[in-house]
Formats: sequence, C-alpha cells, structure tokens
Amino acid sequence: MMTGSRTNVGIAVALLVFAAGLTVALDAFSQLRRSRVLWETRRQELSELQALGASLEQAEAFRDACRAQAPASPEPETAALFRDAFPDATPEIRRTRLDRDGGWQRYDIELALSNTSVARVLQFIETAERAAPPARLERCVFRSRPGGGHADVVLNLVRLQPVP
Amino acid sequence: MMRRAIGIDNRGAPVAVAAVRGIGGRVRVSSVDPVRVQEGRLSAGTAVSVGMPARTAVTTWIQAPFPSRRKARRVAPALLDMELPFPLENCIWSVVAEQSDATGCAMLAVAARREDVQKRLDELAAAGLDPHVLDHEGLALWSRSLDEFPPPPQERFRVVVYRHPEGVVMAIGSPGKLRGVYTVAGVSRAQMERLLVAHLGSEWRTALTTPGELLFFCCGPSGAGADACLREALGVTAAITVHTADAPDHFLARALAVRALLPGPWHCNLRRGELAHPDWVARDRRGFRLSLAVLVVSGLLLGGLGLSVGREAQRRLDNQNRAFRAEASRIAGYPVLARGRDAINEVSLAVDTRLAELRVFEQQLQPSLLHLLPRVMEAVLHGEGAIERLDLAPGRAQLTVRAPDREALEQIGTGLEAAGLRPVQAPDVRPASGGGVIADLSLMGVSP
Repeated sequence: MMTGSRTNVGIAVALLVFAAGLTVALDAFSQLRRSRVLWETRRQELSELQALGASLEQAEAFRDACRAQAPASPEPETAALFRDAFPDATPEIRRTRLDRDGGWQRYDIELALSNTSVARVLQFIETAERAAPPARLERCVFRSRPGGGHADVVLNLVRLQPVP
Repeated sequence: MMRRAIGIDNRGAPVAVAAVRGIGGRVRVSSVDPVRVQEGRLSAGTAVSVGMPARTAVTTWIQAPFPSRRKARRVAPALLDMELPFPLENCIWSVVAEQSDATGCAMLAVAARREDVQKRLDELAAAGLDPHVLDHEGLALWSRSLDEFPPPPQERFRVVVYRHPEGVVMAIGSPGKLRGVYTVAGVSRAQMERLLVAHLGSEWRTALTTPGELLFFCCGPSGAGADACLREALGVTAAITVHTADAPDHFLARALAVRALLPGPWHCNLRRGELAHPDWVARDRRGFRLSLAVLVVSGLLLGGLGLSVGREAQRRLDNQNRAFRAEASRIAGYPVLARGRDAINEVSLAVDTRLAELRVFEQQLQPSLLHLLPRVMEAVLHGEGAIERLDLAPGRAQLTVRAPDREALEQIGTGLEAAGLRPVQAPDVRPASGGGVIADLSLMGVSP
C-alpha cells in the first residue's frame, strides 16, 4: 500500500515536472513567434530612422562643405567686393544669425545698379561667386536701356559665413 | 530487451536445453549443458523459458460479435469466462491472437488456473529451475513448426505431433489458424479420428491420402519414428505426409527460447502478476523508475530550454529597443522617450525642422544662375531680338523680349527651350511701337 502510494506520488511529481517544463517550453516558443514579428517591426522602424538620419547627414554634409569654403572674417571682403566693382553703389545688406550648427551669419545683399554695363555686371557676379565665402546669385532683374549693352539691374546675392 | 534466451524442455531425459542469441535481427541457436542451467550459471540478462503443459492450460477461440478489436478486447474476459470450465478470476489468461472480419473478431485466448501455474513453478523449482517465461507449449510448438517448416502451397491442414515419454501433444489447424491443442496419453485410432473430425471436418480423410494436403509435423523426445506410428494409428497403409523436425528432441526447447527472445505472434507468458519472476519485477520497476526519471529530466530540460529561449528572445528585443532609442536620440539631437511609431514621428518632425534649417546650406551650393544668363541672352540674340526685361530666379524666369516678327519670336522660343526653359503658357504677344512685336514669356524648368 505504502509502495503503491509512493509510486503514485512519484508519477504525479514526474508528470507535474514534465507538464511544467512543457508549458514553459510552449510558452517560450509562442513568445519566440511573437518576438519574431516584433523583431521585424523594430528592424523596419530602425531602417526608417536610419533613412531619416541619412537625409540629415546629407544636409549636414552641405553645411560642412559651406564651412570649408568660408574664411574666418568675411565682412571686410564683402565690402571690398562691392567697393571695387561699383564704388558708387550702395548695397543693402541684411544680416540674419543662424545660431545652430556652430553659429552662422547669413548676408542677404541687394544691389540696385542703374544704367550699368551688362558685361560688367556679369563679371562682377562671377567674381562674387568665386570669392570666399562665395556669394550666390539668388535673383537678378535686368531692364534694358536703349542703345544696347546697358541695363538697370537689381541683383540679390546670398553669402553664408560662420561666426568666428 | 533480452539478447539471449534459453528454452528448457524437461519432458524427456535428459532435459533438452536450447540457447538462442539474437544477432542483428537473426537468431543463432546453440545447445547448453543442462547442469549449468540447473545450477543457475547463466549470463546476466538471459531469459529462461519453460513450457506450460497443454493439459493444464486451455487454448480457445472466442468470438466477439463486432469487428472492432478494441471493443472485442473489452468483452474478452466475459466471453472467456463463459468458455472456461473454471472461474476466470482464478486464472491467469491472455489473448494471444486476434482475427477480425466484417462479422466479428475472433480471439485466441490462453488460460491456466493460478494453482496449476503455481504447481508447475513448484515442480520446476524442485528441479532447480526458475524460469522467467512460462510459455504455452502448444502455441510454441505450432508457431515454431510454421517458422522452421513454412507451409507449402498445397498444404491445407497441419498437425504438430509432439511425442514424449508420457504421451502426445497435438496442435491441430490449418496454416492460417491454430484450431486446438490437445494432450493424449497415446496415439489411438479412435482419439485421432475424433480430434481430426472435430477440427478439420470429414475432409481430413481425403487430405490424408492426397500428398502434401495434410502434414504431420513430428517432434519431441520420442518424435523420431513417428511416421509408422501415425500410419498405424490412422489405419492407413498408403504413404502419408510426415515431416520430422531437425533435432526433434530439442524442438520444444528451441521454440520456447526463440519465442522468449524475439517479438512475434502469439507471445504468451503465464508467469505474470503476483507469480512474475522477481528479476523481471525488479527489472520492470527499474524501467518504470527510469521512465519517471526520463520524464522529470525531460521536463527540466524543456523548462530550461523554454526559459533560455524566452530570455534570448527578450534580450534580442531589448537590444533592438536600445539601438532604436539610441539612434532616435542621436538623430533628433535630444533623448527620445517615445517608442516605435511614435518615436519615428517625433524624430521625423525634428529632422524636418533641422532640414529646414540646413536647406540654406544646400541652396548655397546649387549651380549658379550666372551660367544661365548667357544662354538666355544668346537665345534672344540668335532670334535677332532684344531683352526688354529679364527676371531670373531659381526655377522660374519672366522674360519680356522684342522681336522683328512672330517667326523670330518662335525662333527665340526654340532657343530658350534648348537652353532648358519651357514656357508655362502661350506668350502674350503685342505689336511694338517701333515695329516688330513684344512678347511676355513666363518660363519654368530653369534648372539652376
């Protein structure tokens, strides 16, 4: 009787242990199945993030390229640029601070020239775009004067300069 | 699983002993010194099998009225109880064969009274034998005779005749079915006729004189010379088909040993329950404990495997979450606490803001409008026109041009298109005061 009872207890314990182990294993594999879906979702989300990061890095690469073109002190050179080409002209310069990315100064320059040689204007723009930092022609308006070769010109230029 | 078995036939003198060893699914039979067996000098794991005399053990076919073997097995005790001349609860019994067809299920049952089994065991113990298997000798004779001498195609009936000093055991049937096992004191004509008619019908007499149809398979300690004895008993002078087993005195011992060793039909061990051999009880107990241990270890292994798989899955997910959060924070430029899609939306917003801030740098590096100016001027001059007004900005241009005529204006338009400037709409053309025409052109596609 005692032996039978011990045997039954043994069977019960073994079955319990096996059932518990099986339950844990089944639960784990069910979790694994769910996890696989989550892993794939996380992988896709990470890819999306990396795509966003790549677009940002590309934009930052442009900024770094601009920094490479810029000397330390632009102000006298900008003034000199206009003074040498058009001594009588008074450019209107608007400054905007771009505080992020290490601090930048943006110069929006508007230059109105009356009855000016078109060839001279083109030469000036070329010179301005080769300067360091380069000035970029944002907009130009030509109104021809009779006689040819001359025009009233309005130039809009933009320069970016890191703040020292 | 036993790898070696010994069969003992103690009907004759000397005692016949056959040892069988299983090698790669085949058996090798050898003889053993009976003294070694009686002294218990046997290698470990050897099963000893002895026959239960047919006179103390009943074989009978019982018929269940349904073809399902499972259901038939359930009613077998009741059916057998009705067949037996003694109460079933005093018996050790088992169903050793089943044959089912559409009409029902026939079961070959073996039963022996418990006291007869005990008496047989006591006899054997007195002779120094303690067998593990107590097999029914009739079944052993029948199944072994079919193995050692497979029925030829013309054989319709078979009678296995086992002659020993105290009498004859006969197993009667057709190759597909054992019909009955009997023990008789001697082979007399009246008895033979009665048994053969009972089991084979009147056909046996025709089959007896037709060569090969009724086979007498002779064996046993007194098996040699059975041919003449049978002819005399059956009252025939013509030849009858008789086959005598090889080493007939060891045939039963061989049959018992092979049956104890190999799985096969009609297995029978009447030493079971409380009469089971102590070694086998201990072996079964050990097997049972081993099964429990295997069950526990399997459970523990499964549990361990489950836990480690679960942890590994969670660890990988945590790593992905960490990498995701770090990447999100790096791109956004501040710690991002949101997760999943929310985090992507938050980072996307931050990136859009940053891209707007950084766009100015990209624009600064775009190709200059300066390269476009000469091309516009050249297109106008090529059409013999003159620029009245030009407003040029990235992506668009407004041009007022004076031309000698409409043809020249069209030529200017073609030149502008070649320069990459496409008119947005049809030009507004009007006559010029000094002759010719003036056109206002809205252009797009100015690729800076």
